[in-house]
Amino acid sequence: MTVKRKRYITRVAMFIAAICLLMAMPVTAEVALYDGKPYLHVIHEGRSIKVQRIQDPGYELKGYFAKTARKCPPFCIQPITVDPAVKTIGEIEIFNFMENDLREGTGILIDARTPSWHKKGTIPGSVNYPFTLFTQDENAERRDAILRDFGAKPRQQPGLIEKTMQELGLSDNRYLTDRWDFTNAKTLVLWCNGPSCGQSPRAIRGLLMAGYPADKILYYRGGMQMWQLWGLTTVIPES
Amino acid sequence: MPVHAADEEDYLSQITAEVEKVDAVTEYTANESGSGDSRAYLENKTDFEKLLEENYHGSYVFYRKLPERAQLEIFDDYRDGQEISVLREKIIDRYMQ
Repeated sequence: MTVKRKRYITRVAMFIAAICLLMAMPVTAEVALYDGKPYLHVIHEGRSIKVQRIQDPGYELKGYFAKTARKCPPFCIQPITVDPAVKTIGEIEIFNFMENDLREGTGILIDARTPSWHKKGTIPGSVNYPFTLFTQDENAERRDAILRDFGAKPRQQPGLIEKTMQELGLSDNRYLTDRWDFTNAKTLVLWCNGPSCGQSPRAIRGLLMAGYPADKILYYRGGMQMWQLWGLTTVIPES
Repeated sequence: MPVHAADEEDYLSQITAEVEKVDAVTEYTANESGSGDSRAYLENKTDFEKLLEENYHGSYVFYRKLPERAQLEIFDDYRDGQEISVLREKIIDRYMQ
C-alpha cells in the first residue's frame, strides 16, 4: 500500500469517526426551560408543539412586548394577586400544568384576551375565552355553557336528605353554589398580555362572581410579555 | 370589584385600539407531530420515558418490559396528544397480551 493510499484511508476513517461522534452526541438545549428540562411538548389545536426557549444567545426582544411604557390607565401595573384566594403562578408552574393538567384533561389554559389579541399569537396549549364572556350580562347564557365545558354541573333542587345533611354539615359543600356543582370542575390558568394587562384579572373576577371555586383558578400574571421575554415558543392560532 | 358597563366599554375600545400596534408574534415551533429527524424523534421518546418514570413509576416499570415496537406505539400515541391515563391503560393491555 502506498503512503498516499494510507493517508487517504486514514482521512476517510477520521471523517467517519467524526460523523459517528456527532451522531452519538445528544442534542440538548443550551438554554433550557429550567435546570434539567430542555423542552416539553404540548398539544395545540391538535398539533404537538415543542415548547422551548429561543436558543440564539444574541436574541433580543423587540416590538410591542419590549415596550416599557403604556398609557395608564388603562394599561396599569396590576397587583400580584387578583384575589387573596386565587394563586398567582409563574412560568415553571405553567410548564408543569402543561405536562400534567392539560395532558390529563383536568385543566384548561385560558387566553383571556379579546380575539383580536389572540389572533396575533398565543401561548401553545391555550384556548381563547375572552374576558368579556365572564363579565358582560348579555353573555350569561353562553357563560353557563362555558361553565359546563369547564366541568361544572347545574344543580337540581336538593332533596330533603341532601338538604338535611348540608344543614348538619355532614356533606362537603365546598364546591356547591345555589346553581352549580363545581366538584369536578377543571383547574383554570388564566393569562393575558402581562403585568400591565387587566383582561385576565377581569375574567377571574367574573368567574369568581359566577361561583367558580377560587382554589381551581390560577393567575399567570407574567402573560404574553414575560413569555416572550423568556423567548418561549409562541404560536399563531389557526382558528 | 363590580364591573360597570360604561367602564367596560371604554376599556374594550382602548384595548382594541392598542392591538393595532402589535405585530403578529414570530412563530417558533419545532418538531410537530410526525416530523423531525430520527435522532430528535428518539430523544423525545427518551423525554417521554423520563416523564413516565418520574410521574407514573408503576406504568413505567411495565412500559420498560414491552417490546420496542409496543413502546414506539405508546410513544406515537403520546405525541398525538393521547391522555396519559389512556396510555397507562394501553401499557397494561400490551403487557398482558
